[in-house]
Amino acid sequence: MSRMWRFTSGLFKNEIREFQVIFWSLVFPLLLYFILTSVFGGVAGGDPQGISFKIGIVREESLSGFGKILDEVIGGITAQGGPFVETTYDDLDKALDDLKRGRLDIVLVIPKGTNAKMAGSLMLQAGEVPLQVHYVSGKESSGIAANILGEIMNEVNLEIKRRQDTDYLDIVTTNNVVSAQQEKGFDYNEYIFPGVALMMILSVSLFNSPMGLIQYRVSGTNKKLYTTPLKPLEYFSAHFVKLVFTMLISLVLLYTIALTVYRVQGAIFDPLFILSLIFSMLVSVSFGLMIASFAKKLSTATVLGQTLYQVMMFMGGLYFPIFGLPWGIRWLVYLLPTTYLVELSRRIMGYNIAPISMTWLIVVPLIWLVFSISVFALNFRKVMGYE
Amino acid sequence: MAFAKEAFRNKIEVFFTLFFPLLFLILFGFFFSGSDGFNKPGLGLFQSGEFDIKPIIEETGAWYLVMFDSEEGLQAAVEKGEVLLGVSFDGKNMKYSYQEGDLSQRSTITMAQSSLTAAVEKRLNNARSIITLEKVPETAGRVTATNADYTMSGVIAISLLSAGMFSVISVFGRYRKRGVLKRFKITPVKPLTFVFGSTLTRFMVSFISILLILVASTVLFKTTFDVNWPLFIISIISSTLGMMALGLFLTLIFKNPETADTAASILMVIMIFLAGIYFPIAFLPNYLRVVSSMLPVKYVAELIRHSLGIEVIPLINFIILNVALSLSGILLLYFTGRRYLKAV
Repeated sequence: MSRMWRFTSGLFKNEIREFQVIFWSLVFPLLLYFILTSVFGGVAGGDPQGISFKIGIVREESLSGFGKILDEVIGGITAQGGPFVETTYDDLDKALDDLKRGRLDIVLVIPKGTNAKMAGSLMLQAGEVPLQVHYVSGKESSGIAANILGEIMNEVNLEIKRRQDTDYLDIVTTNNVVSAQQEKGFDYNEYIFPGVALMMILSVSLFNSPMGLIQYRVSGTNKKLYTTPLKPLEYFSAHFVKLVFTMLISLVLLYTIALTVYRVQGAIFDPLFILSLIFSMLVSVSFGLMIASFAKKLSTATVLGQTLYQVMMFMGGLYFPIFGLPWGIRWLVYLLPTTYLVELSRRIMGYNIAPISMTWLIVVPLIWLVFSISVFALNFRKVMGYE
Repeated sequence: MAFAKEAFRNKIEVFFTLFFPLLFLILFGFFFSGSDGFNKPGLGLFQSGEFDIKPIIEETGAWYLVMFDSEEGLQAAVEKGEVLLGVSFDGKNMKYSYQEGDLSQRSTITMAQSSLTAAVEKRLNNARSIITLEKVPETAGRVTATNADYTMSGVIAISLLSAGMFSVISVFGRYRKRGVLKRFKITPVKPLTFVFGSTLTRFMVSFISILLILVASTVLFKTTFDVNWPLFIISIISSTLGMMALGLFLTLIFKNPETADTAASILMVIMIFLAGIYFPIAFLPNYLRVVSSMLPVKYVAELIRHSLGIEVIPLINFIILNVALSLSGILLLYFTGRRYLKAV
């Protein structure tokens, strides 16, 4: 037992001394967690604070009288914390030039005659006040900004009607978020946690594990190891324990950041959630061992590992939901174990993203686990390098 | 020729420069090409009141409308992802059901909620439009671009970053560590010949990779590029040089090629998320927008979009960007080549 422990300890130390391992297994998950929560935290949580679009406003006449209503609306949407930051232009061509060069997201044009049209429309209840918003075709931020402005103008129209008509019927709207537990609402920091954790597990399983095994095999380290009393099964056990140690250290760091910086609580400490992570570790490690079975060279393992890592990460829905993808590619989503593993963890947290029953969330990864281990068992001698 | 053979024999290098960008193109293309790449998103409707809002939804033309006989059926469809948004309306109350966490559809759902409520309220109260907003699409370049055009031009920029940055780390870092540079030093090969030969190969690989991306994006995502080939080739050369400069800078800071490789990977991830290529900069917090403006790949994307006809930048900016990227690459290649081949 002490031999086994000493060997495991040696393997682990050797692994952890590698800068690449430290970075990709321990530091990168934290960095990615920070980037994802910084970029998407506000948007995904429906918090518009911090989101601002650049609007150029061309007033072809200065607003007065009833036209002042428009100035008030513009003042409201461009105030501190509003969705727009205003730049005023005297010349439409200059504004459009800035729009095309990316200095603006949209250009609002208030044409001549707006004051008179506003007065006519409000007092005589006839006619419209036409405004123009210019946006860049195909550019997402520009399209979104134009749509937001359109909605704001719709609201202004309704507000005017609301003030004029005492019998105005307001529609009561409610949101029903079907993927999250109703009582707690959506928390992006919590939602993305299993995605980042699984990314780290994949990284250790698909890179560290097969590359470590193949590196030892091709460099001749295995031959030296087998001149000692060490048995192949002991070597494999030590390799497995080493991987689990690496993952556990990374998970502890991730949990610490989630708890202290992002205040994620409750769900990630649920014993079932932790069990789902352990299940993910077993399935992913077995997948990595299958790669080691197929790859003779380090370069093949790198290419296979990278391809599967990217596909399993993005198509498995670790960061972005994937069930809106066209069927031409969606079949792959249903084939990957990560789709089920990340959904299993999220389902335990209270989210229900994938249209897959709980049974399949366990059965499909189990099938992968059994299949991968079978492939590895058949190639055990080759992978462990003692044939 | 020897460098070309070495590069194409290196399975990992071929994979990362030729096929890895294609993998990213497919993955990111499906995620971020927007709604114009797919069918209309589904909207499920269950009505229990007298007022029929079906025509209002149909008028928008933005949704594939699916009617439901029961609230339970609608909920099940939303849960299964059969429809993006479920709307339940009883004449006074509107309940919107949707799956949380779908970032790519978040803005669509939010906009739909407010626009549908406003449209129904307007019809219900017989309110007329006092202020109307005409949306005028502008063409920022030579072609009217689609979401897919913007995404694919971003994939090209990221691919140039990857090919340029990682290739020099591979050449100077790996060759130095393996002692290949020492062997070169005792041959009559001049440092300039070494640098020229090794980088020219990377240019070729990079160019083939870009051509593959162009073909794949046209076939898979129906991009509508109007390629100005002279500008495009200039942009590719200067951008590759600029990205090589970034890679060389990392090899100068980090002696170990693996460390330089890791630092390059960090930069790559940061640039993918923060350079405004796949996600609008408007969504970023202010401090990250400052970071975004300092990322070179943002400017590479501008050059690529200009040469593909998606956007137009002033000629002087085009020249300055190309010269700055090229000069930084050439200078760093020259000094690094001299340093490693003379001082080893």
